[in-house]
Formats: sequence, structure tokens, C-alpha cells
Amino acid sequence: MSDRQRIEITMASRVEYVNLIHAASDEVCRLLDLDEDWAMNFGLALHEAAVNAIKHGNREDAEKKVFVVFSIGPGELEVTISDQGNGFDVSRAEDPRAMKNIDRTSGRGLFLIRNFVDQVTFTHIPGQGLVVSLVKRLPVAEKKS
Amino acid sequence: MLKVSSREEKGVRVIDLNGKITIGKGDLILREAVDQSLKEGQSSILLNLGNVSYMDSAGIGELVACYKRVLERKGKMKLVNPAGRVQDLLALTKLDEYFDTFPTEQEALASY
Repeated sequence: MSDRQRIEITMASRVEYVNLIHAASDEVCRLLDLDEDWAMNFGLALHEAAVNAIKHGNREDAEKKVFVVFSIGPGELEVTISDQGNGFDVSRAEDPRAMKNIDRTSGRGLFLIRNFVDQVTFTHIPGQGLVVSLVKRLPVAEKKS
Repeated sequence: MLKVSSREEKGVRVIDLNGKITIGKGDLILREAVDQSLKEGQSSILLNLGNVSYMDSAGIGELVACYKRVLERKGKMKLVNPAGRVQDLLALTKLDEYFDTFPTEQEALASY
């Protein structure tokens, strides 16, 4: 039997639903007794990934769904965000801090995601969509002597 | 939810922002406040971020978009008192070097 706990949320591709995902993330972090900074960092990464799935993946087509799965495992919190879009070439994402990009009005979401979790993976499943996995290690609890 | 109020100080439109600047709501409210100022012919704008608790990439992008629109009108848009999370995000994205940012309103107003 798996020692991971799973929480699954399915939602239509509406930008206003991102706050629900963010709230769910905050609640999961609260249950795990994680501090506010940790929760805000993880929440922002998830928020950005969910926005990408809705806007760029499903192109805000309300008929298409976004699937969010929290998976709490030993020592880590993983969330996968799956859309029903055509994927995108992650390698083409540029550094928004570069001089030539600094005044761009978009293109910072992926950068923020990468900054606020330990591992990000993108898996495009042809005919299904893009799966983004965010993993962040849980802080090691101090042992009482 | 982002709350906005505006006032005139020494010939500058100070826009006090309170809440979150995030996609779909806060970013649009910010845009509207800056556009309203431009529409009224006031292109010296100071955004007071002291009570902004949170921003996402859309909010950051809207700050840049507002800055560029003000610049196109030969105006100046500056930031005052970004704190905590917002300050961290501006530093992380290096936008703290892009925007004119001040710790106090007095210093910001003196710079126009």
C-alpha cells in the first residue's frame, strides 16, 4: 500500500478558479504544519502552474479541464497539474531578468515556479495534454533530545 | 481583492494599493487606476505598495505594463514602500533595478 496521501481536484479552465487551488495549497500546508514562507512559496509556484494550464494549455476553454493532484509523501510535497492542451516547448522560455527581457509584460511565471520549488518536470502526453510536476522537500523536523 | 484609493500630493497622483495584485482581478484594478490618472491628464504617478501583501507574475507584468504606458505619455511612474513578499519578488525578478523605488513617500515625491 502506498504511504502517500492524495488529494485530487478537477476544475474547468477558468482563471478565477486559481484562487481555489491556491487556497487548497494553503490548507494542505497548514495540515502539514508548514510555516507561512514555505506555504507562500509553494502556493505561488502552484498558482503560476495552474494559470499556465488554464491560459496557455487549455486556452481558457471552459470545456477543458485542469486536474490538480496533491501527493504528500515521505519528506516531500508533490503537486501535478495536468491540462488538455498541446503543450509547449519549455526550452524556449527565456530568462525574464535578462536586459532584453526585463520590460516584458509576461513570461515570468515559469521563472517563479522554478524558484519556489525544488524540482519541476514537464511531460507532454500526445493527445492528452501537459503534466507539470512540482516537488518541494518538506523541512526536516528537529529531533527532541 | 485589491483596494485602491488615489490622492494628489505635490503635483503627483499617489495611488494607495491595499491587498493582492494577482491575475484576473488585482491586475485589472491596478490597470484601471493608472489609466484613470492618465485619462485625467495626470502622468506623474506614485504607486504606494506598502499594503500590497502579494503579487503573482500577472501582477508583476501589469506593473511593467503600467510603467510603459506612463512612459509613453512622457510621464513618470515610481514605486514607494514595497515590503516583504512584494519587495522579495521585485528583487528576484530584478525589477527593483528597473523601477524607481523609494522607501518613503517623502523621498519619492521629492524625486519628481
